[in-house]
Amino acid sequence: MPGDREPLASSKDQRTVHDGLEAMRSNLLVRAALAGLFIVVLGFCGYLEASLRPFGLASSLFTFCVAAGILLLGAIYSTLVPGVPRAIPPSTQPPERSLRSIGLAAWALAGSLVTAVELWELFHAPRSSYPTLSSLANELIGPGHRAARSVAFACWAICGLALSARPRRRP
Amino acid sequence: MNVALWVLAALVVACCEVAARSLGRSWPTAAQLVRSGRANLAGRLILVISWLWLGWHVFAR
Repeated sequence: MPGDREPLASSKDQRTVHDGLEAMRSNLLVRAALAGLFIVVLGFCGYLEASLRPFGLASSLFTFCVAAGILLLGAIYSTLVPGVPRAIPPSTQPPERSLRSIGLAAWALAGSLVTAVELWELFHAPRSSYPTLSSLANELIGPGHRAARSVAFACWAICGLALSARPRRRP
Repeated sequence: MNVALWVLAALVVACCEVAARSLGRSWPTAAQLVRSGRANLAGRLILVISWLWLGWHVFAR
């Protein structure tokens, strides 16, 4: 019947499909191993960075060297791996323009609120009563918290890799 | 530590994200805003400079 899947002609075809699946699986494993190695290296970089004296030239140089490496890696990756356009499920309804405007306005309001709170806290003292985002982050990933700091460093570097890579084209 | 204002700001941001995810494509999510910023060179440059500043501010300064 038309539309029915045709049975595989021979065991040779089955072997070809099997080999293709195996190659795909090993490719995925290699990619996962590389990603894992990359995250471990970044965590180690974060651990090294946490051992450097804050406010020093060495910590600034180290951070910017890692950042330069990440940006270079992102550029190379997006050049070598052009990326497959992601399939987007067809929308049943077209986006409403008025709702989109309300959404953008809401995001602008949220951003303004965060900025206003930051400025309010920044120009008031003492810092223990008026915490800024930096002082809050310092409580969690300050120089004393070496493990948390290395995790945060790895997360920051991964964000940089995502930002520096050229965005994938969508159909 | 007085974090009430920060909790309020975080709630507003979370409400925006929840509204975006429940209302579908019309209301943009935070990720869609960043993606539209990355769509052109100027936006990408601003994002990368902000990322560099954040790293310097948090880890080096």
